[in-house]
Amino acid sequence: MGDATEVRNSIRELRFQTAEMTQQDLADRVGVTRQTIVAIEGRKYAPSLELAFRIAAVFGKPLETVFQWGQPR
Amino acid sequence: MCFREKSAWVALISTLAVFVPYFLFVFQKAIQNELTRGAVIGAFIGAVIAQTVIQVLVHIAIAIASKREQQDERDAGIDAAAQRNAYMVLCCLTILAAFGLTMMSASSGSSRAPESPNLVFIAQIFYLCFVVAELSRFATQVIRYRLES
Repeated sequence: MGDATEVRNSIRELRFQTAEMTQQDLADRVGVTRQTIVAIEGRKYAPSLELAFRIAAVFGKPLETVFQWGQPR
Repeated sequence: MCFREKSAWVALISTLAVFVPYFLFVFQKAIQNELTRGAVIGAFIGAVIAQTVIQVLVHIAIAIASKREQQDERDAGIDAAAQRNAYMVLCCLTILAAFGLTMMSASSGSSRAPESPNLVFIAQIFYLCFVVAELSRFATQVIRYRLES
């Protein structure tokens, strides 16, 4: 199956750059289930604006560094 | 598989396992013209108790075996979509049932004719509408969780 959302993200790369943070660690820090992080990383689910800000805050990056909209150039 | 997806699977399978035989029994009685309150009430209570017991026991087992998680925004979105689908199914089936039962009454000449659908039959038809709507709710949850995993 293809991607369900056009919201791309760099969560996987950022997790590895942040002391190899696990999906469960990130999920616990932003208050969602691990499956939701899996769905976001796999572009099966587009997070709410609030959740997107929370995830970006965990990595200490601006929102547009973590999430991008549209097809890759 | 998360707790809520397992829960949706349990609800879907237990509803099918209990209510398919139940409605087969009810409609068999209706065809045989033996659909009386006495014939149905035991099966009805039995089906409701069976489904409740199955769901409680399996949910306890799932909760012990896996981590119980709080509902997050994705779960809430899936629940909302499932409720919408179930409501739409319930509306469509209720309208169809009301129309069908009215036509059955009309074709027998009078709403008081012996061939008119009896109250037990009418009650079971509307209960079937509710059960099908619930099945569509659980099926929507299962499908959405599978597609997003």
